Amino acid sequence: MSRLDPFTVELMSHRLSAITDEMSLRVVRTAMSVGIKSLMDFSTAICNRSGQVIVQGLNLPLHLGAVPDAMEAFLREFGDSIQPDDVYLLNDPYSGGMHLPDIFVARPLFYRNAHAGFAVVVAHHTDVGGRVPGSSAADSSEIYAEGLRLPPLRLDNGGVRNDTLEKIIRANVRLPQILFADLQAQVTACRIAEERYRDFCAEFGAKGVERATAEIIDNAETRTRAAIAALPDGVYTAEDFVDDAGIGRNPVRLRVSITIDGDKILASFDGTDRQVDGAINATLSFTKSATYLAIKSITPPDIPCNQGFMDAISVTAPPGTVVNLVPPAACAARGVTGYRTADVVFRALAKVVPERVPAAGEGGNSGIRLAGYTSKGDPFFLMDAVVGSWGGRPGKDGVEGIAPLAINIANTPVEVLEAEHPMRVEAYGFVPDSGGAGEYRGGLALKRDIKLLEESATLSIRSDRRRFRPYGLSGGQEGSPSWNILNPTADGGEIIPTKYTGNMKKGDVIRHITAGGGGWGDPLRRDPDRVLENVLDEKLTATYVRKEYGVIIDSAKKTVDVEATKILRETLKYERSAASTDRGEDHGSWEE
Amino acid sequence: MQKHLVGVDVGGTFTDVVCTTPNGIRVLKVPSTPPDFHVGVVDGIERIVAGMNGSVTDIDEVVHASTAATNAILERQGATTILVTTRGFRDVLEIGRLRVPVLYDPMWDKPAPLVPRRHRLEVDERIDSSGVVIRPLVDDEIDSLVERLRKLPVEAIAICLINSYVNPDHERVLADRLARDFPEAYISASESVLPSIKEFERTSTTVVNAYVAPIMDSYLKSLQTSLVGAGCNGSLFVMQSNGGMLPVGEVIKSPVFSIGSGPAAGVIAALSLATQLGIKDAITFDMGGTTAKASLIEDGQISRSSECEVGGSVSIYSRLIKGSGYLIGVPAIDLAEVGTGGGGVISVDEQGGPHVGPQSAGAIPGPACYGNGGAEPTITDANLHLGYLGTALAGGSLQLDKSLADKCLLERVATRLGDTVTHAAYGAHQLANAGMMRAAMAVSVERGRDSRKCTLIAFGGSGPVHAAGLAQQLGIKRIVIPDHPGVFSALGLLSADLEFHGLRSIVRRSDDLEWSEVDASFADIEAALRSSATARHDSGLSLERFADLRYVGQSSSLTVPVTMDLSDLGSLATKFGRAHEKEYGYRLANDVEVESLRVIARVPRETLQAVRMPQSVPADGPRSRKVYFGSTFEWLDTPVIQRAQSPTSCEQGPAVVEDYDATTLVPPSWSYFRDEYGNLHLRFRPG
Repeated sequence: MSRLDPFTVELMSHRLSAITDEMSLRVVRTAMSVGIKSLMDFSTAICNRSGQVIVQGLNLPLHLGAVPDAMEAFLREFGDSIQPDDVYLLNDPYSGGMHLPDIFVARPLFYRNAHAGFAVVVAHHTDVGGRVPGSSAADSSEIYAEGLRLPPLRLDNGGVRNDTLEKIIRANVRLPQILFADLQAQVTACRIAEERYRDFCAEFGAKGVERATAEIIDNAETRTRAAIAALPDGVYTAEDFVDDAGIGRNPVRLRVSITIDGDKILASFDGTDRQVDGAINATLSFTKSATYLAIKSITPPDIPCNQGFMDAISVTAPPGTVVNLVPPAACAARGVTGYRTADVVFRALAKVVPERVPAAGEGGNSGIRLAGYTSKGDPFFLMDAVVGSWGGRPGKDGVEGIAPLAINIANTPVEVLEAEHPMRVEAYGFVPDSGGAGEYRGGLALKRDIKLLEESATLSIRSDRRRFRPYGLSGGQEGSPSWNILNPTADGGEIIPTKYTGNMKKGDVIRHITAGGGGWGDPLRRDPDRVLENVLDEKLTATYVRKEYGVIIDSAKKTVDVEATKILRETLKYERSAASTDRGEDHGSWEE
Repeated sequence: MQKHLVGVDVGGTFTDVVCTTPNGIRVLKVPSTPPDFHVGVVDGIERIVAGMNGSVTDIDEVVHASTAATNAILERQGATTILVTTRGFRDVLEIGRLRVPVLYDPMWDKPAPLVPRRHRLEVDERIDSSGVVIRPLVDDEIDSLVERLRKLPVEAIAICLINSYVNPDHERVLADRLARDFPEAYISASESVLPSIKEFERTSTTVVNAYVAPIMDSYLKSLQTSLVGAGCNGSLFVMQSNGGMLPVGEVIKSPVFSIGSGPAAGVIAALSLATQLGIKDAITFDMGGTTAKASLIEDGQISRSSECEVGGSVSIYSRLIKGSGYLIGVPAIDLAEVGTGGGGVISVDEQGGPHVGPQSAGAIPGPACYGNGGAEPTITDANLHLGYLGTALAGGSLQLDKSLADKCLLERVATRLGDTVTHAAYGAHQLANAGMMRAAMAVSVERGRDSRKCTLIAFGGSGPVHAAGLAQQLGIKRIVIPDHPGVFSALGLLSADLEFHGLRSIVRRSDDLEWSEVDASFADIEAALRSSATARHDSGLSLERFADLRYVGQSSSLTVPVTMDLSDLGSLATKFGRAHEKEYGYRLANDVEVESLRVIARVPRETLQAVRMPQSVPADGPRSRKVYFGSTFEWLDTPVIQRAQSPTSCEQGPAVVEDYDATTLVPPSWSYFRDEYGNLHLRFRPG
């Protein structure tokens, strides 16, 4: 078959993107929960008849590889009985899902009575039942505790709502009104997609659409493979750790070997720890998503994230590991594992293309929850996500005051938090000297202090990166560790664990400090004038830069003492090279 | 009697001037004169008035829009600004809302804050969320702040304290004291710029305000002085991004409201035209050299957004996720922007995939066919090759070199694709339309409108040549191309009402609030607006009340008009429920919270008399050229006519209608006619 005119293919690709744009905008407009509406924790896609992703819309980075597994599950279940006006859904991580709050909705697209493709929307729902409100507890040890499991099911059968299913769902979730509003937003987006897809087929012809979509997928694969072929062949291995799984204190090891062989890339997670009792176990689809995210970040940005891109990348992990769970592992809080998976893949890729890979950021968001009852008996609940720094980058400092690449999350405005909760934010800002030192330094950590104004509250925290800090690259230092401190004072306070559940009483202050980003490159090579700028901005202190950067600042004159700096840097260079031969190269690994 | 009105829209390259007198309307494009833009403005005004046999002394009003403030931000040329904040919150401005407007780009850079950390000073004070002072602001603390400020270069001071939206006392005390101690500095307190909840949005807006104020002040003063020097004693008004205008003396209190006023004027002009033509729903499409902008007119009303960004990137994603520019929480006309203008570069990727933009050849060197050394083929080059544009633009003052366009298209695109120049140029033209289609669709879909039921109102230098192709991709069947499309935005300056906006933050549950309190707050805002407005404009002042409401627990609010028949909070809540259902498709049983109250005081503008176009008089003989319309029609001999010669009853395309400042393309599947006011109407009517 002759190739289509490339302009027509590109034009059609724009038109398909317009359909997923419209799906995304519809979801944002009609969904009810904050998670979908404001945090945009959802993704949209159009697939061909065999379930291959042709185009993805605005999406959550960690949903990148989610759709193929879900489509496979839908096709396995309904492949022989697809009819117009069907709507399918699932959320079961053991049959195509990722974790229970993420519900996938798919609708077959029909043009002139022939099945032509699928529209898919996956969205994170506020609550899908289970033992804890929000269905996201980190300390469940079995999937059965986490909420309602939905294997691939028909929500609508040829346009007729499956009442039995709807009743079961309503009876099992805490906020059925919100869940069904959000679900309806997904269903509506898929219905709009079918209308638009029909127009699209009418304009270009069913055959034309089929050829073009095949080419759109092929082109992405060809371009991805060309990008991989440009990378040096070899096997590149890296390790990173989650501090602990929430139950027990053992660290969890993630290990990846990236093999680049011509135009093929394989990420193998052999050597990663077994799945754990806590709820941080991930599905292979989630592990793939995190891997795609890292590879996507180092390949040409305009390659579309469709099936072709994904097909060019193989990801394997032994079943029963924390990155490829088997029943009955719990997985609601697998976010931290996804962040660390992306971190470890980036770390391996840094050995392939050091000039394109940043040092580790803060390691994903920390979750601070405060819940209780006011003196009037009204419940209050705060879920605060604290996050904020990228690692140093080749040629650039790490950004500070920013969401991680893996989850594009916003902070809660201090004034909104105070207006809606019996709490006061005492401070929210950067922590000086916290980013990993480097020629390009890591972003500073963020500090957030919250004071309780009611009699008592339950405090629960999910954080990480205290024991295993964000790594530096190319000679850059690790970022500073994360901390949780109850009632901080000038010289201390009560340090509490990374994953914690306890109580707070009136007047107590909980301080969370995120980890700082890792540094990139030898700190002794950092331009002294840039160090001076940081000191003048009070992001780094004069004492610290003397020790870490070997830069001596004349504080009165606000200048660098050039001569003294030169001498100090020579001395430090000698001392550090002597020390590093003792220390061994991989300071990120952990031994019992 | 119709007044003598002048509208001036100052861009980086050109200054557009439009003048109406009892004798008619006239437009003029003159080069801008950076850095002293006022020189070009006065020159343009003198020339246009002279061309109408009038005198500068006859001018009653000058309405002005400029990019001065935007440029000050983009070029980081604003005032050295100090930010004063509550202790513990020094970094609010720099942290922002964290989110990244582009995905998968680890090399993305966040815009550096307009005030670096060393210039952000904390004071020890605290007010809680209900307005109670937790830590008083004591004199010693203010003295120490003044001491610290004395060591810094202070041109402007922004003050934004936590929870000042409920209790502005500390900000006012600080502002008074700093005004006394630093009489040369421009001082801006958040409670007077944007008294609404969310500390980052309020801080950012106040900082932008302080940062641009000194520049705007000196620019507007120079302009006023030169106008007076030239003999013009008319009143000077400045367009605001919300679509209204303000007397120059008011502007300087909050210059942040005039940022982005040029594009807003285009939408106002389109609204005025739509009203005149009885069009209720329209998508406005303004395409210039570097960007294209779309906006929605819905049921005869412009769409507004509650915040926008200066210097933000242009993509669909950044409409949903801010963070690429400097946020200003100012209610403005809602515009979606894509980075495809006439200068959009056509390229081919490593695997032979063609793309248009996002790079632009800009004004310099511009498209290859301008002959200024542009080496990259652009959309304008493709349009020239296809016969959509003639080789002489702007009445012959700009000559295009077709051979340069063809050469560049051949080498950079066609050869690499193994394709003909014509086919490549046509493909690129359509790709440009596809990119703009996504922006235009976004503004309608976001509000639940079906773009296919809208009329496309197309203007800007490149809008009319792309209108039909864009409409076809959007499924739109009706297009209006106004007369003077290239300076249409400047025309909007003459349609804007005088508008004073007032805002007060409340943040109270409706069941915890008395209507009398609401009424009293409205009356306070109105009294303040009256005192601003009545200095010279006491006649015909109308007041409109609005409330920003939300369900308890929601993070964003909806603005609902508070009509005079409303006199209780229950009905207001019901009205909000209806608005919520229309906007989002559902309503809730939750309690309703009043976030803030707004009042717009408006002195309506006299409606501009639409000017009838003289009956067509063919000035010269019939002209035609070969124009390419895709593989179905290929090259067709196409009549090329002046707007004044275009038919007054519907005729089938193809045709090319040339104006002084733009060219309208009528493909074979479209018909067209000119109405008595000179507007071109296109209708989709395939063969």
